[in-house]
Amino acid sequence: MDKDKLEGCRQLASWLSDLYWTAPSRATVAALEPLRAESAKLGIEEAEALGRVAEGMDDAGLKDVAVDHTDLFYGVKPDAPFPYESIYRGEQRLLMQAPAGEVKKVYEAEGYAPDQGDSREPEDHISYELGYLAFLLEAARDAHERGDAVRAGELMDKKDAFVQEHVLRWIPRFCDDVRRRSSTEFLKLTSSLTERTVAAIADL
Amino acid sequence: MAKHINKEIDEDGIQWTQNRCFFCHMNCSLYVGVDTKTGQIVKIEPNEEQGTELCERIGAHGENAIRFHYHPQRINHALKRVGERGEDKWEEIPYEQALDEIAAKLTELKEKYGPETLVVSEGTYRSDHLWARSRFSNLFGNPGNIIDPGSICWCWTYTINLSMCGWPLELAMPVTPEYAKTIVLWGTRRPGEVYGPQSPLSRQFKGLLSRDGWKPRIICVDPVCAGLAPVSEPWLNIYPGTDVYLALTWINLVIQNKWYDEDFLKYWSNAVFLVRKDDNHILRTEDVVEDGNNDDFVAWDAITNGPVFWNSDENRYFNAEVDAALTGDFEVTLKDGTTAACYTAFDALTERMKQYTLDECEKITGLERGKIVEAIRAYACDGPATMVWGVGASDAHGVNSVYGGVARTILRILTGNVDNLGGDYIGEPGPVPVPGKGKEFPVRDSEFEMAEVVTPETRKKLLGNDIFKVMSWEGFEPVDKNYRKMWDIPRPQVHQLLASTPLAYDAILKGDPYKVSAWIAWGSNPLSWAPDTKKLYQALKALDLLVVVDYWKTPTAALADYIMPAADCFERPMATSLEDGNDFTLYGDRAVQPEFDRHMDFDFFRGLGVRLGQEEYWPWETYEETIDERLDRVPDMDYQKAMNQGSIYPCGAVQPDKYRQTLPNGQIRGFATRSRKCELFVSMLEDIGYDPLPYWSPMFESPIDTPEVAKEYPLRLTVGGRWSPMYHSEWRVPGQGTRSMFPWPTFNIHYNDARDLGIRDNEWCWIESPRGRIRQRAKIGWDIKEGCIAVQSHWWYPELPAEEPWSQGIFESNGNLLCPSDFESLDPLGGNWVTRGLLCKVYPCIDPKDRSEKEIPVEEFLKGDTFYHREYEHLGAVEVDKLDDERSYGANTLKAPAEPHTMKPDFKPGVVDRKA
Repeated sequence: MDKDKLEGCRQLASWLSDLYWTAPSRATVAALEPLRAESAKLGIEEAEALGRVAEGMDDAGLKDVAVDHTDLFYGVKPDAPFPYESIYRGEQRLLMQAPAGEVKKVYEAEGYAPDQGDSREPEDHISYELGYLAFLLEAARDAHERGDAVRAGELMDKKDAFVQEHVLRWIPRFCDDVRRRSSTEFLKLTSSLTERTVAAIADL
Repeated sequence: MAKHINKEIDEDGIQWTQNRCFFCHMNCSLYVGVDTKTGQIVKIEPNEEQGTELCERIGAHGENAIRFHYHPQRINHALKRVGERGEDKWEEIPYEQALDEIAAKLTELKEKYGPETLVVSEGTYRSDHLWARSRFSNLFGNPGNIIDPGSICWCWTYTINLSMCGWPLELAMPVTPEYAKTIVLWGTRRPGEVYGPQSPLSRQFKGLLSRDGWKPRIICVDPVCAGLAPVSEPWLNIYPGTDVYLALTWINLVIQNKWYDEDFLKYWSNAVFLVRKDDNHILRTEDVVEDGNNDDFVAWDAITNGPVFWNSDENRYFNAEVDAALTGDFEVTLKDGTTAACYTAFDALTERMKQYTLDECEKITGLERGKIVEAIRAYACDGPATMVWGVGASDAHGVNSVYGGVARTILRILTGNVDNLGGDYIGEPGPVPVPGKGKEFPVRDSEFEMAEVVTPETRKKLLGNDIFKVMSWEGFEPVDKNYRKMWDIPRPQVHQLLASTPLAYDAILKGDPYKVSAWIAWGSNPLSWAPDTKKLYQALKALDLLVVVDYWKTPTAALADYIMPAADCFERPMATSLEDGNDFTLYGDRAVQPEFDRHMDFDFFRGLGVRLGQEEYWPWETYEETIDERLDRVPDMDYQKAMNQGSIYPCGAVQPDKYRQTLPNGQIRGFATRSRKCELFVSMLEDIGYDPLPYWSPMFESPIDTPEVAKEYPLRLTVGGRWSPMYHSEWRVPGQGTRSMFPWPTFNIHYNDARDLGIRDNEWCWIESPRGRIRQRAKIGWDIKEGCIAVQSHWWYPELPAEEPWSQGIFESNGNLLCPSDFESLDPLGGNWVTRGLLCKVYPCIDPKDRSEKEIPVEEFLKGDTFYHREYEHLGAVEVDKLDDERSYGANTLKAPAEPHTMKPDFKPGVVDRKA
C-alpha cells in the first residue's frame, strides 16, 4: 500500500465531497492549497490548475461559482447534471431509486453515517459517495498504521467494490456533463479533478 | 374491510400509509407503500373501499405520482436570487437561513410601510395548511391581504350564500343527486374534465346516467358541447358571459308562470317581508317602533290585516299565529308617524325581473326561446332539482359575477330546492351546540386562525375593504355573526376574505391606496392564473420582496427573491374541511418525511412566525400535533383512528330539511342567516350598501355593449374551460405523462368561423384582445357556438428557459393575458375579474399567403411536370416516374429504379453545402 498516494487520494476525495455538498466558500477554496502538492505527487495536474484559478478569484468570482454550482446541482435548469447516482443509472432519471438504497446498505454495513444536518439528502449524492471513499481510505490508512494489514486489505477490497459497482458507473459521465454545462472554469476543473481522483482511487 | 391498516408493514417489508392525494380537489384516499429498507415510495394503490380509482395524474399504478415525488427538477432546496430579477440566477442556501433572511426583510418592510404592505397569494386549495397562513398573517398585523383565484372560483359564493341560506350551498359535487330529477350543469363539465374521468365526481355522474330505472334530466349551460352536453335536454349553448341574463330571465319566467314553491316561500323565506316601494329598502322593526331592531323584519298578516313583526333571534313571529301575505300592496305607519307604501320582497323581485324578457334574453344570450323555457320549466317543475356549481356559471363574468350567484340561489329558493333530497344541500360543521355540552366535532380551520387579533382599524386596511365588500370584512362580519349564533364557531377567513387580485397591481406599482412591497406566493403561480399577465409581471418585478413556495420553478418562482421547497401530499399529513367550506373533514397521514430540504407549508409559516415574535402562538412543533388538537374534543377518536377512517362526518348520514328541526332551545332551526330564513331579498347586501336584488349590467366587452370594440375584435371570447389531465396551471411539466396527453394549448373555433378566417385544423393562430395576443392551436368543430372561441388558460412551457425574455413562455399561450385588470371590468360587489365574455380576433400565425406548400392542380401531376417532380430529380435521390392517364389517380407513383439508386458522390445527407 502506497501510503502517500492513499493519503493524497483521501484528502482529495474529502475536499471534493465538501465542495459538491455546498457552494465553495473562501474556506473551501483555501483548503485546496495543501492539496495542490499532494495531487501533484499523484500526477493529477488539475488541482494545480484549479488552485491557480482560485488564487485569482475575487468575491464576484466566488459568487459566480456559487451560481454555477446551484445551476448545475440543484435542478435550476432542465438539463442540469444532477449529482446523484440514481439519475445516471436509473432508466427513468428519477431521484432516490435503487442505487440510493444500495449505497445506503453499504454505508450502514461499514458504519458510515455522515452528518446530514436538517436535510434529508439521498445517500447516492456524489458528496456522500466521495465522502465514503475518503472514509474507507482513512480507515485503511489507520489500519495500516497500527499494523493490521488484514483489515487494511479488507477495506481496500471494499473500496474496489464500491468504485466498480457504483462510482465508476456514473461519476465519469457526470463529470463530462458538468464540463459541458458549467459556466465557470472553477467547476469545469473541479469536474476534471473529480474524474482524475476517482481514477486514482480506483488504481490504489 | 380496509386493505391496509395505516402504517402496517406487510411481509415484503412495505409500510402502507393511508394518505390523501392533493393533485386536485377530490383528495382521493390512497395507500402509499414505502419500502422500509430504503425509505422509498415504491407503490401507490387506490383505497377502493373509499371509492378511489387512480387517475392519469397519479398513473394507473401510481407511477406518475412517484415520478412527481422523485423528479429531479422539483425544488428541493431553498434558492436565493443572485443578480437581477428575471436573470434566473440562484444560489442554494440552507432553508433556515432563507427563513432568517425573509423574516428580516419582512420586519424592515413592515417598519417602513406597515404590516399591510404584505400580500399573500395562494392557489385554489393546493394545501390544507391555509389556516396556518391566516394565523401567521393575522399575527403579523396584516388586514388579510390574501389574493387568490378564489375571487373567480367558488370562494366568492360563500358570503352570498351564507347570507341567503346560511351555508355555501353551491357545490361542484351535489350531495344527493341520486334523487334529482333535473340537474343543471352550469359552466361545468361532467364527467371528466374538471377532476378527471376517474374521479368520484365523474363516476357519480356516470353512475346516475347508467343506472337502472329512471335517470335525471341533464341540462348543460356551456358554449362548448363538452361533457354531458351531447345528452343534455336541452344543451344551452350560450354566449360566454351572458349566463346571468339567463338566470334573471329564468327568475322572471318562474314567477310569471307561478312555477315557484309557494309554501317554501311563505314559511321559509323572507319573500313575505315588506319592502318600501319608494326606496326598495326592506322594512325593519326599528323603522316602525321605537324599540325595534335592525335585524327584525315586518310582514303583512292576512289574519289581522296588519303588519306583524318577525323575531329573527327566535325564528318566529312575535304574534302566535300568522298568515303572512306573499304578495300585495300595503301601507305601514312608521315610528315617525308617516306612512310608507310597501310591497313584499316577492313583489319587489317580481317587479325587478319583469325587464328580463325572452326577447331580450334571446338577443343577449344567443339562445333560442324554446330552449330557455324548456330548461327552466324542467328545473322548476320537474324536481327535485340541483344546480351544480361551475366556474363558468358567473364566477369570472366581471361586472355580473356576484349577482349571478344571487340569481341562482334565488332560483333555488323560489323552487324550494334547498336542503331537499335531490336539491342543493345545506351542510353543518357539526350538531347545533347544546347548552352545557361541549362541541364534539373536530376543531375547524376557523378556530385556528385567530381572526380576533385583527383589530377593526386594521380590518379597514384590507385592499378593497370598502369597495368589494362581499369579499371583505364588511361582508364577512355579519355572516360570521350569524354563523357563530348557530354553531358557536367562527366563519373561516380562509378564502371568504380575499383582496381582488388587480388591486394588488396598483398597490405595488403606484402605492395606491398604500404601498405593497412584499408578496409571498405559496402553491401559487399568479403569472399563470391572474388577469393581465403583462401588468402583473411589471408589478412582480417592482416588489422589494417576493417569496415563492412551490414544487417547481414556475414563471412566478423564476422572478422570486427566494424559492422555498414545498413538501408534497405524500410528505405531509392532512386534516381538512376543504377550505372550511364543507361539513365533513378528511384525513390522510404522511407516507414519508419531507425529502431533501422540503418543508410543509405549516413549517414555513410557523418558521416565519416564530422569527417575527409569534412564538407563543405556535405551540405545536409538528403538524401531527395540530391534528391531535383537532381531534381531542371528538369522543372516541384519535389520530390513528381518523387516519384509518379517512373522514369524519360530524352529523352522520345526510339529513334533508334540517331547517324544519326543533332545536334544543325549542326554536325551529331555520337557516343560519340573519333572519333565520332563506333570503331572496338579501338584507346583508342592503346593509353594506348594495342593491339587495340582482340586476344585469352591460358587459365590459360585448358586441351589444361595446360595438366599437367589436368592430376590431368581432369574436366572443371565453378563457378558462377546464380539461383533464391538466389541473389549473399544473401538470405541464414534462416527465409526468400528462404533457404527452396534451402537449399544446388549443382553442375551440366553429367550422364556419374558421373557414371565414382561413384557419385550418391544428394550425397555430394568434388570438388577440385589446390586452395583447397569444397563440394556440385551432381545434375546429361544430361543438362550439358560432361567433365564439374558447381559449385554454394557464399555459406556460417548463421546457423553455426561465430567464427573460423566455420566462418559460408565460406570455406565449396563456389565455389570462387576454383578460383585463381594469377597475371598470371588476364586479362591484366582489372584485371578480372577467375571463368569460370578452372580445377578440383570431388569425393564423402564418399568413395564408405565406404558407409554404404549393397548390398544384391535379392536371400538372398527371403530366408529371410539377415543382415536386423537378425537386426530386434535382436531388437525385429517387427517380420519380411520371403518371400517365392509364394509372388510377392516387396509385403509388414511385417506381423503383432498375439499379439500386446511389447518392451523388458528394451528397451527404443532412449536410448543407453552404457554398453551393
